[in-house]
Order: sequence, then structure tokens, then C-alpha cells
Amino acid sequence: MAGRDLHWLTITEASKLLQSRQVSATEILEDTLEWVKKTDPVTRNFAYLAEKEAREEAKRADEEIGRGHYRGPLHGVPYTVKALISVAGAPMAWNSKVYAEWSPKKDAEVVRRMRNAGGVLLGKEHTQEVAWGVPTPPTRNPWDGRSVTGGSSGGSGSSVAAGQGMASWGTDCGCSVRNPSALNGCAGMRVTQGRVPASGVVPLSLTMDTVGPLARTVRDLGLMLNGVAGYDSDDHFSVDVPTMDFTAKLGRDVKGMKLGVPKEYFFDHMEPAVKRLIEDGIGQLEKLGMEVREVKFPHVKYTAGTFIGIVVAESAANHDEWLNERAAELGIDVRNFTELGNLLLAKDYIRSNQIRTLIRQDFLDAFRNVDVIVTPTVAATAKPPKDHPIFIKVQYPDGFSEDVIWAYCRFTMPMSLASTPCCIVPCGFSDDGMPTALQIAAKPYEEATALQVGFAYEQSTDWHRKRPSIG
Amino acid sequence: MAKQVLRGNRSIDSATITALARYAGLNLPEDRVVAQLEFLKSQVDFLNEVDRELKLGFQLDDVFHVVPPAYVFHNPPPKS
Repeated sequence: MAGRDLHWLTITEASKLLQSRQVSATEILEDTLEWVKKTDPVTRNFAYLAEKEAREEAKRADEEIGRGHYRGPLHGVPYTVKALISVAGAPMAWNSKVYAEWSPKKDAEVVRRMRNAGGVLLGKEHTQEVAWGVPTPPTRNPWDGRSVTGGSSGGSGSSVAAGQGMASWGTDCGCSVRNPSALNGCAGMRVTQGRVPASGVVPLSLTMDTVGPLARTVRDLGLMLNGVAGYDSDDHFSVDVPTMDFTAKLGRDVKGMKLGVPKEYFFDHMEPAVKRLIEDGIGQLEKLGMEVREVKFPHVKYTAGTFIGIVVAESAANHDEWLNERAAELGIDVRNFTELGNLLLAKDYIRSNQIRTLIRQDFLDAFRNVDVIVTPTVAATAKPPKDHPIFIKVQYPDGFSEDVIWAYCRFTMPMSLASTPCCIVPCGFSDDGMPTALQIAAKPYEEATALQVGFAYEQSTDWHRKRPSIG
Repeated sequence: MAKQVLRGNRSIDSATITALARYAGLNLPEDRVVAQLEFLKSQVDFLNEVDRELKLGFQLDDVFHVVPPAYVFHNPPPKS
């Protein structure tokens, strides 16, 4: 298969070929490197390309597999990580002038576990500065070569969709794995906080950050999680719960399962094409035998202010020292939010966390009657950036307009506050060819259920087989 | 029943922001005070409104009432 679009293989496909030695890790890597060099001048996803190190890892994988020491489905598979995930010796700039010179000496735990699983690290993908925002400059969306990629894991979403690595590890506080998955047309997973090690990963919000995979199929998400999930004693939010086989429920019939659809908030102010695709997606799940039920969320209307009240305080605590010393070097978004975190009172942070309790309770109440909750991931498709991307205005037919940051995170933040896992699965394209996706939420720690429903949907459609005409 | 006290009636102006910034150890230039005026005001207005609607804090009412902050239960504690 050498030289025949090996970069478009999924992990599931590649692992079978690697294990049976029909293709080598080096062949896959060289094909992928060639593709990255051909296409990344357009997508501009890579903050760091670990070409030399990747060749060494691929060679080692080939030697081990050749000796019969096959480590599992990630062995020999090329993947990337978001720029704010530590890789020993690699730059950590994560789109910030302030942190541009820092290079960590130790791998993040997620990278260490990927190395143990035999993964081949291709490089690091651009993120929005310190993960605060959604446009992720300088990246571009592979579907049109000019629109934003979402964020803050925008480089990860664009690279996976563009065939520049089979999967990527991103991070998700309010939206940051999920909207890049939806806007670039790949699968993604926000896990329950504590499932995947976060040590060695730069935090935005200490109580909402999660590390999660982006991949081209739902099964590949499960394989990535199987490779790294589990307790990490260096991560204070890690949870010592039994690890699961995240692929265990894939292929099980979803007939008779209960699907919750909210009537308030989640379908407010949407681009018509996105709304139609989401409704079609829910209709498809109904055709598969799922029972659709209405669910109520009386407190989600408070989401935006609650989320901001928590995340600005926590990010201010993380990045406080730079505000006086090097404020002019911070991007305007980081400066706005970090300053705000300094000006709110302790009781504001506590109040925000009290509202968070009520929002979380809404979800727990809903999950008494349904297995999953399905919503849109974003309200609009990816748009070309303006002078400053955060000021892109999205206008809806109902007269409502909003900054694009809200269009891309309004429907994902409630699940962050509730700490529920979510599987993102592509569900179609707008008339101008830009993708969008379903968000499938499950109870805390029930990632496998979200993946089960996402897989059932994916396998009944062919959206995941579409490729951007790039290169 | 004890008399209810009106909650959440804070207001924000430039002088408040300057004082808060000084207390936070933040050197906030005039243009940043102006930039934060609308930003902080909208957040405080939001919390004022929610405070009145949901009565989040300790309430002297017929039924003892308090909403725990989310970080109390956010995740089960690690076993080891």
C-alpha cells in the first residue's frame, strides 16, 4: 500500500495492516510527512513538526512489530498533540509571546502513555493563546482553506480532518475539543474530568479542563482513550475509578435506548443549515430505533455568565504574574479575561459555582429518564476571520447576532459545567460545504454509552468518509 | 420569618474598578479601566440578577436553604 494515501487510513484500518505487517510504520509516517509538507502551507496547523523523532519512533515500532512484540492498536500510528501539551524538548509556545521561550523537560503523562502504546508523535498543533478563545490563528479550515478552525484545539481538528496524522490529543474546557471537531468535520470526545491524565498540560480552568481525543472515526476515539485513560497520581483532578474498554459498546444495537432532546436554549439562534442537519441527525437516530424524549434544563439559561465567572477567576490565578510584567505581549482576549478574573470577588466565584451546581443537577435529573442527550455542537459553521477573529459577527434569521466565540461554544459550555462526557460526530455539510456535528452527551463516567450512540449514527451515514479537497 | 435583605444590588464604575485593580495588585492603565467597565459590569449585573432570582446564598426563610458550590462534589475523591 506504500504511497497510496496511507495518511487517510483510520487507526482501525492502519492497526490491522501494521499488525499483519502489510504496511510498516515508517511507510505510513513518510507518506504522512509528505502530505503534511504539501498541505500545511494552506492549513498552517503545525506549531512544531517532530520529523526526526517521529522517524525514530516509527523505526522502533517496525522493529518491535517485526519481532512479534505488537503493543496494540496505537502501535506505529502517527498522531499529534495540541501545543499546550508538554513534549520533552519541544517548544511549548501555545501561541503566546509570553511563553514563547519555554520548552519543558518532561513529557505530559498523556504523551508518556502514548509512547508506551507505541504511538508515533508527529508534532504539536497550534492552539488559541493559552487556550482562551476559538479562532486559533494562524490555522485554516481544510474544507475551504480560509475559514477558522475553531478552538482552542483548532490545529488538532484541522489536522485530523486534513489527513495530517490519524488522531490528535486536544484539551476541552468549555468547547475546545468539541467545536474544532464539528467545524472541521472529524469525531471528538470530551471525557468526564479526571478520566484522562492532565499532568503536564497547561491549565485554563482547573475545575473544567479535560484532555480528549480527536480522530476520524468514533471507534478511533475509543482506541485513543483505551491507550491512555486511567488514574494519574500527578493530576490532582484525576479520578481513581476502574478504567473501561471505551470500544466495548460499539456495534451494540441502540434500538430502545432513550434519547433526550432539550427544547430550551440548545436550539436557540442557529444558522438554518446547521439546525436542519441536527434535526436530520436526530431523525436518523430515531430511525435506528432510539426513543426521543423531551428533556428540560431550567438553569442552562445562566450558562454563559456562570462559565465566565468560574473560568476567568481560575485562569487569572494561573496566568496572573504576566498581567503587570508583560501585559502588552498578551493577546487582547487573554488580557480581557485575565483582568476580569482579578476584578471579580471571591463571592462571585462561589456564586458561579453554586449556579453550576444547579446546571449540573438539571443534567443529572434529565439522565434519570434518558440514556443520552443530543444537541447541536455549534450554532454556525466555520467563518473566515476578520481583522481580529473574535469579532466575527454571526447573524441569524431571527435577528439575533453574536460574536463567533459564543456561536462556537454556547451549546458546549453547559456540558462542561455539568462535567458530562460528550461524543462529537459529523452530521453533514452546509450549502457552502462546511461541516457540522451532533453533540451526544452521557452521564458522568459513561463515555462508552456516548460512543455507542455516536458509532451507531456514524455507521448509518457516510459523513465520516468525506475528505476535504486539499493538496 | 426573618426579613429578607435585598441581595445583589452592586453597581460598578471606573473608581470601583481602579480600587479593585489596586487591591488585586494590578496596574490597570486608564484605557484598560474603560475596557473593563462594560465587561465587569455585565458580569456583576448577571450575578445580581441570578442572586435575586435563585437566592443562592444562605437564606433566613421558613426552610433552611443553601446551594452548595459545584467544586464540593465535582468529582469523587481519588481512592489512593
